[in-house]
Amino acid sequence: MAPLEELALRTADGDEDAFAEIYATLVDPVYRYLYWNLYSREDAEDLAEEVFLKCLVNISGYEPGRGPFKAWAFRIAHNLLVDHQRKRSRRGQEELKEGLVDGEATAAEGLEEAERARALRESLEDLPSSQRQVIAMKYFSEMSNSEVATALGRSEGAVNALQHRALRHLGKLLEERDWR
Amino acid sequence: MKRGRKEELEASALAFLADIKTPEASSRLRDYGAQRVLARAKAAQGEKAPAAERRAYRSPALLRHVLVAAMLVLVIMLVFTSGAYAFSYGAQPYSPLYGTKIFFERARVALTTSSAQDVHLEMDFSERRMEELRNMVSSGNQGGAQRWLHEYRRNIEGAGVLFDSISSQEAGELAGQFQEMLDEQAGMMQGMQQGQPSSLSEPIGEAYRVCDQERIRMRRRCGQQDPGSATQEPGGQQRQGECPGEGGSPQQQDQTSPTGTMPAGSGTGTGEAGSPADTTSGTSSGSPSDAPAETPADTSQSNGSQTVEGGPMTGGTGYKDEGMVRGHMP
Repeated sequence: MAPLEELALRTADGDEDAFAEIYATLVDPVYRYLYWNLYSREDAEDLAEEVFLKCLVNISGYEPGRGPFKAWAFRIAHNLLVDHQRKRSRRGQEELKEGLVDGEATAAEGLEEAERARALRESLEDLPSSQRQVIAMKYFSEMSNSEVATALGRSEGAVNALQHRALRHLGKLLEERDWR
Repeated sequence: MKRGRKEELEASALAFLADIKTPEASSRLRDYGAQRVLARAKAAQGEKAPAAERRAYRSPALLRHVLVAAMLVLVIMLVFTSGAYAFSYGAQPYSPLYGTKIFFERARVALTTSSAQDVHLEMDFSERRMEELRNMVSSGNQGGAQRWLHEYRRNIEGAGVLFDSISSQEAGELAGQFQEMLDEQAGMMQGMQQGQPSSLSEPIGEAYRVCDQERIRMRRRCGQQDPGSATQEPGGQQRQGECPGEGGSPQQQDQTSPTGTMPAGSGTGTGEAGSPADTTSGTSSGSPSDAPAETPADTSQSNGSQTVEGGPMTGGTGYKDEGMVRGHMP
């Protein structure tokens, strides 16, 4: 059994140290996934904390036989992200723009990095949501196709095809913005 | 799109992504996040249990649902009960709804708070039985005659038994009404039995006996003379010795009651038919109400073998069953 799955079972038995290990392992991937969907460090951190809280509260419902723990945790992250984005879209575009400016200011170091980040963010925004999810999970959270498939509730083949389509689409969008 | 072009786009995108640096998460999330999450989870669990307990009691929505459901059940029951009562009110003994009618009568008796009220109700219900009997006779439907008899017996005997459990003052007031009612019912039964088929005349005869026995019992209770040793079916058949307190002369009997008419009518006075004094003084015993003025026909009673035509039946008692009794007399 993979370490994360063992740790999850120990956490379900009340082992807080096991949860701390899970947290230490997954906090960065979860944060990055959320950041490249929300483009705001603060929002991503707040939501990441909610993701781990939900994982901890529901950890007794995790069954190792149904998939890797990382995929299970990312499924929770994905669901919370969708809820968050829905709420944010209800609040209106005005607030969203403010959030983008705030995220940009804190994310970039140096002019070029800032420009690259802006180009990527704008390109990702132009991608369909499913393609953006795959890019974020695969390249920022370093997940396998199998884990992405479980997290998004799709087949591995579908994720593979989605990944290639997303990369081509992203490459084209970056090209249009003179980034190669 | 050509394969080479696709690969080129994918490669450029991958290269771009590889160079991208995600801003680091703050120390707040990385170093203290786990503790904060654990603390929040504990607090959430602590709040969850009492909240769940409170929900059942305090939730206005739940309470509203329960109240609405209870009201609905109450209204349905009320409508159903009122409907059943209304539909069964006029049910006859041969009707399928008769059981429902009797059920409501029993329920009313069970819900009263005093025995005196019970007696009143049983009296009212026995009047209903008489109404049903009239309907059976007029319609010629004898289907529920036995059922009717059963219910009539229950009303009359029930009322008689209940007299034992009410105070003497109340009993005194009620006894008069009860006796009067029994007299009237006995007379009606006599009148109705004539010309009926045996399937109806037998239950009526049996009901008459029940009524008559209760009359005797009530007379004893009131300290009155028994109406006589002979109790007679409305058809004119006489039964002797059912009243242990017999001995009064026929003239002492209540001539308005069917039993009072029996000795002369039946022609079986057997020497108890009264002393000569009785023939002259019909009011010498018994209550005034029970002993109306003697008629000339009374004298024929003392003979004990007179025909009905010359007997008390023609004496103008004003009782509607006289003719019937007369018709059945030997």
